[in-house]
Amino acid sequence: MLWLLLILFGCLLMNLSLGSVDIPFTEMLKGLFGAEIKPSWHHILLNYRLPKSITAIIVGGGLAICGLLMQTLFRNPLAGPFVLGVSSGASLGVALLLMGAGLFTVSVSPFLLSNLALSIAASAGAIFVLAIILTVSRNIKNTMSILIIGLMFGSFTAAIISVLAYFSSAEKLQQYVFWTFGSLGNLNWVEISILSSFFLLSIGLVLPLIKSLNSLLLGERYAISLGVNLKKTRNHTMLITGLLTGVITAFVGPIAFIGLAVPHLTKLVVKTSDHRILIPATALGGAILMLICDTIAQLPSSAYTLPINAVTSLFGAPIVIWLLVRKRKVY
Amino acid sequence: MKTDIKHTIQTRDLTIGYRTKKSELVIGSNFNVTLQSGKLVCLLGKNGIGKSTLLRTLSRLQPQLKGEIWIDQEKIEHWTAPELAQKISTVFTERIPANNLTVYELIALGRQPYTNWLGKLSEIDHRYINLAISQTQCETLLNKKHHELSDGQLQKVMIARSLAQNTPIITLDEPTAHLDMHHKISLFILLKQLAKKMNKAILVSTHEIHYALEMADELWLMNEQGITSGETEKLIKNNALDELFSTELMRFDALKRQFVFTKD
Repeated sequence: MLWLLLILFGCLLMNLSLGSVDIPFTEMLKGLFGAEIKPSWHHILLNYRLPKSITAIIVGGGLAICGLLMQTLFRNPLAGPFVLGVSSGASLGVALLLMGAGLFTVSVSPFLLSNLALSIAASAGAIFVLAIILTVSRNIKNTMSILIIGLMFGSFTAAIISVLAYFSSAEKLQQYVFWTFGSLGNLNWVEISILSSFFLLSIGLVLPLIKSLNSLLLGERYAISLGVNLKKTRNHTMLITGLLTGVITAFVGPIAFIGLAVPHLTKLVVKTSDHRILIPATALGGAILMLICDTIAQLPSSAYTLPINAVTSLFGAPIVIWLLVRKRKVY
Repeated sequence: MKTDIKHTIQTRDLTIGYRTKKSELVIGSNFNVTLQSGKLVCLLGKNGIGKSTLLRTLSRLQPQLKGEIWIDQEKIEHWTAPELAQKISTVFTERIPANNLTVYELIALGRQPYTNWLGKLSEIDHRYINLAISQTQCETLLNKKHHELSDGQLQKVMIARSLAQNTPIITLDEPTAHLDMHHKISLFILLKQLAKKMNKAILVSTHEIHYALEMADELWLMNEQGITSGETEKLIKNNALDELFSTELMRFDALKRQFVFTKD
């Protein structure tokens, strides 16, 4: 665990140092600890890079934990933070705001296009879908059915978005597509503090679940016979995942891949199924991978930036395939 | 660690089955049976008669349709989940999902009803885990992952897990399936010892009629009419076993103590 922390720290420094403007490593360290450096570097470091890095750590850690929770709950290696349809809900909120509003009104007030409005729309959409899924699944015994219901909600909202997209103008469509690319760099310190409080709250709520999650490793029947309240555990887990992914998606867009892949990568590295170790290790792994992806997305020393959502899959997927082929084993 | 306190499961006019919003599917009804400490009881019956459903109902994994289940002189509904987990442990037929659990970790999960909110194992927990390991002779398997085990080894480990749970009552659903003769016999011997030496109440569903007749203190014979229960010898004397399979193809031979083909 300690060396994961060290790697995280190293990645953080690398992420802070590299970007379209190269800040030499030593200067960057000086700037961080308050010494005099070039004012422009100082500005970039504290108002742009540091918030972005912190966002990356929270987003990566949060999504990875959600992925782990879903994979354990559904005992399905393909589950991820988005299987409950929560990110589709967030997308729907944003799509309705950007494309739906344009359909019915001639002029869109500038407020509707602000970051804050996007976040609110995304949160509203995410909470809406989460509420529906929690209600529908309240009387469902079979956990697998819930997984399928979540996927159906995802398809359903995606279909609505397609319809909206079909009827909206190219400009609106483009705005929406840009949102789906994801962006770690748009958050100010206030937004970051909101995001981190949700993150810490979720971590706090996950802790009492750890024991039940470990029982679930034996399957639902054994978990119940060990005294686990399955329904409570299930709803509790879904609520945490829904809230955390909802808030993350609201602020940075739907970040693919991290939530699905990081738990697998982590299990290859730490080789345990004990959630007392897995949860912190997965969070660290998610944060590390997100920082690396963000560093790559910045295309160091060039003026271009790749969409973060493309980078996570573009570089992450081959790594996972390679690791799994090399290991040839059930993790 | 033998206790002299009597622990029991008792059913009164129990009806088991499945309930959906619109309908009820009754698997079996009017079960009046008692399971007591110190007894190894074998539950016999043909495929699909509802042995697994009964075992699941008795450990509250599914609700009964009608009637009552009493566990230690208290209705089963009145026990909280953690309390019940300290009364009954179970070995199911299903395989456990793929993951990284080692055999030791798997057995240790049996201590969950006793551990704190984070599942930290205490000195006492380790003692019970080690006892369960030595009773089932799993010592050589401890560092293996559970998916590396053979069927027989896995079965032993799952029994060790339920022993670590240290419950006065244990139910096992067809634990001898997939095992060779040697492992079947040693399993029955182990269960018998646990009943005698540790005064546990053990209920095993099985198709191994021969071993059941040999080892069980009591039999529960389950057929379409209900459950006939009693001491093995009495049941043999009363020709109760003939009612087990409603077929013309074979009959129970009390002298040979086994089922034989009906001649021509």
